[in-house]
Amino acid sequence: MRNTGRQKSIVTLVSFRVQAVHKGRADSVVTLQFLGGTVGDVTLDVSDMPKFKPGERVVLFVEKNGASASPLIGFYHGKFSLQKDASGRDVVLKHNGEPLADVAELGHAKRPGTRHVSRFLTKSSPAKYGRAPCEATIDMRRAICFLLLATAVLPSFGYDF
Amino acid sequence: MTTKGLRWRDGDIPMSLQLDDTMTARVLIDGKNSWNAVAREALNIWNDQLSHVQFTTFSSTQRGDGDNHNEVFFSSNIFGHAFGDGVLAITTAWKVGSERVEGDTVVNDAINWDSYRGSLYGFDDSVDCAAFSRTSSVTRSDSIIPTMPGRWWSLS
Repeated sequence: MRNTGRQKSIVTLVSFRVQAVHKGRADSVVTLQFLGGTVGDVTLDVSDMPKFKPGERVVLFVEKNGASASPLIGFYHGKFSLQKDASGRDVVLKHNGEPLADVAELGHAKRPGTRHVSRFLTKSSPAKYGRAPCEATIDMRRAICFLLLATAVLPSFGYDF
Repeated sequence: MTTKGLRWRDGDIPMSLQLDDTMTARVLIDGKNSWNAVAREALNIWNDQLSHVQFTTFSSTQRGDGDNHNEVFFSSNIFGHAFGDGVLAITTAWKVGSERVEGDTVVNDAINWDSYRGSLYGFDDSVDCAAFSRTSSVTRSDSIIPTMPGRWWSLS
């Protein structure tokens, strides 16, 4: 890891194999840059930064990759994991692992029920965050939306500003 | 205090409060006219809950990420990275091995801020106490946060 005076940083590049693009354009493999990561025994953690496991299937709301600390809208609020239910259908999970019942519930008290991916992705109204402690109102329509399959490539490196 | 494998060395955690350096002073809803005073109060509240470590505060103009100094300030970016739409504040946590060595809190200066007590706007959490809970390595879900005074909230 390199330093320049009092400023140094760590970013992590995460590559995703794209399964479907629901808004915007993307290559078959997309690499996103997240502030934070580990180089040797030095780690930089950034609050609410999303983390990924190799092979994890996710829906991502992407914006300003490489320019913002997080390329996902609202940090981990822009990541949704997909998990098969008993019938084999994909269920959309929020950052806390709870099923997403309705886009309108983002940042609000949980509601019963689950939302399946096909309905979720056709929802046209924006998501509004109201009570999350580090996010204000966020308009998800600004994002390029990908439906992605995460790969096992999770490199970290340090660089100077 | 330790969570998630992070631990500060026992003793003081010096915090460089630089909030007043770049944000125009005015009378806040709670009557204070200093952002640093609001932050200092929040840190003192946490001190009442901490035993092995204690926050101390001082004034400094030094600012940098990964410099082993803990800074709290308003900025338009996170050490050169954009906040992203609607992001109010972030906390960084540097560690070497399992020891926490730095925690900066960067507050988005594009947001209209104020400070007040109680649930004036019906929110159930607060930015400063949540941010400093991360600095102290206390989890944000700690039950004392919603009842704490010294709140900042975006009014926009």
